[in-house]
Amino acid sequence: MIGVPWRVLFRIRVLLAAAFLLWAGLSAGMRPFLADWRSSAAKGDRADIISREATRFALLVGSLPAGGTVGYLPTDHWPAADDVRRFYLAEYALTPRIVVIGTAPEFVIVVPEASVEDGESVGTAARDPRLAGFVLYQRFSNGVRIFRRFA
Amino acid sequence: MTVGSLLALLVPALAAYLVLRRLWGGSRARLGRALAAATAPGLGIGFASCVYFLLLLLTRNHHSAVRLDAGFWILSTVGLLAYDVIAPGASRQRANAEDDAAARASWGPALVVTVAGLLALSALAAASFWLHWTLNPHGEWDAWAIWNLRARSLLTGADWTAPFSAAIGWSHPDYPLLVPLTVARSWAYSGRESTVVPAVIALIFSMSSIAVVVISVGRLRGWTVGLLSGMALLIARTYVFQSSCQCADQPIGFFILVAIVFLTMSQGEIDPRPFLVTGGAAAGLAAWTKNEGALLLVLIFLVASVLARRGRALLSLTAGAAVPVLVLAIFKAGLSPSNYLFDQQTIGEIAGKIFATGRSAIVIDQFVRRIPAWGEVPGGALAGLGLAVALTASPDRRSAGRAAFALMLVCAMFIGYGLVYLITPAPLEWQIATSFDRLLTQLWPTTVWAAFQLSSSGPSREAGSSRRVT
Repeated sequence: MIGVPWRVLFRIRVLLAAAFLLWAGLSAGMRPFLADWRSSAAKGDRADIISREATRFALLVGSLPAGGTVGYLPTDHWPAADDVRRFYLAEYALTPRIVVIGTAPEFVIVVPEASVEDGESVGTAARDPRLAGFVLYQRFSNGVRIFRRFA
Repeated sequence: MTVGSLLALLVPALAAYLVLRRLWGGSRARLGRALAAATAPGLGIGFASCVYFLLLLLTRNHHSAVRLDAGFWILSTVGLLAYDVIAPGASRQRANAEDDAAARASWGPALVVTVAGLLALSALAAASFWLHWTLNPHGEWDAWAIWNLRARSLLTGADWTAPFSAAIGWSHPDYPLLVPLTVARSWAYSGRESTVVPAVIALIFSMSSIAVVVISVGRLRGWTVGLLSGMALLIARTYVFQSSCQCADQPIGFFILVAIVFLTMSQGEIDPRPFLVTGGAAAGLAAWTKNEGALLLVLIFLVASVLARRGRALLSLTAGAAVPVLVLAIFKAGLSPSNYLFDQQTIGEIAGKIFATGRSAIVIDQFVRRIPAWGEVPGGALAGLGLAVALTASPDRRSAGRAAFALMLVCAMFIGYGLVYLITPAPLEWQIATSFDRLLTQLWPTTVWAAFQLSSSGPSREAGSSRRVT
């Protein structure tokens, strides 16, 4: 009989623990869930930013060598977070090529944020002084260009 | 997700389940089907990545590797199934009886309430996971910049070793390959990339961690407390968020959990070998998942060597860890560039950082501020866990011993993480700010498991124990 009140007390404690954990879990999880829900509704059918940026670079796949190292011209704001993300996404989209910052490799990717198009034609020398020794190799509809070092 | 990529995950999980049932069934250990089912997917996926790595080394292309891999897993699974039919394990009936005994020990209404509570929190976590995936199908920054990038590199390159280039050091090409190889292997089976695959793999490891905590706590301390431990695991919003990030922190958290739980449970068993083989396998796979896993592996072997009698414990641990450690050694010795911790500074500089009081003060200050707040839960996840355990506390000597042993290992892991912070060549506060949440996520399931060893669904009992009488 001595065990009965203890058991009742223990059961109340278990129920209290369950109620507390449920409250804690719901109060921690509901707000971010609703925020994500609103973001999802606002986004609609549009692709997420990673998919959009990756698609932007995916256009270049057919114009670059299948492997090896490719250069990437950084913006003047480098290493601002957006620029770093864009550079990493270039690697993500163009892997297994190794994309590196700089103009040492034969091919260099130039995004409009790094160098505004200056009316070059394919095969003509780059006007951006950072691309001295390069010619425009390919221009894409989204503003991204590939320059190639001439011998 | 195609049938091919689903089978690429399911068949090794089934094979691992059959191996675990055979391994555990041979002993008097109190381990049942439910725990095997919870543990098998993670271990199966982990070993599949090891086999696939060796096949890629051998064949140097995915086409041949997939054929050999499929043959290996199908033959292994069919063989194990046939063996199970011909020589069924003697422990089947006993395991079920023990499950029933544990279930009966819990009080009906409390069981209903905790089942409902766990279902509610699981539903919220699942919905959050799905929403986050729809918003970020490629995962969070580290997922696409490290893990999914590596998976794509492994799959698409003519030379599958090309991505291990120091030129892209920012993507940590020295990180072990369990997660990216698992993703690449599934993609290779289906013949195309899909953002669903990394998300499903993340989901499998998250669900497995919850299941291992609930089932192993439930079997040891009663099902009501087991279900409460699952609820405690899910109160941490950070943990739920990290589940959907597609990084390697959930998988390594699962392996840390299994390794520490099984090493802890091996203490005092008449036949600890099944526990130690399983724990060793998990520790090896943790090292094959992330560099932090190497710390766990060393720690587990150190502790086992201190506690071991006649060296048999070390043999069992080694048997479990052998394959993952072998592939890790091949990767680190032959393919991986050096780690940023060691290639950007000299030994003298590292030693200087360890003894620099200013750095220690920053690390301690950050820990003191961040640990209580971790989890994005009102009051902090650790305080919530502490309150739930305090309300249901009813420890006995053995369960208190298990809690102390597991928490000691968690603390040792945390001290190891602190040492890595001390020597990092990256800006210290930035490093802590960008990684602390993930490191605690890795240790959270084990912490919850250890803490709930102090709880009980009723008067303390260890039903169906196969323990040695001391």
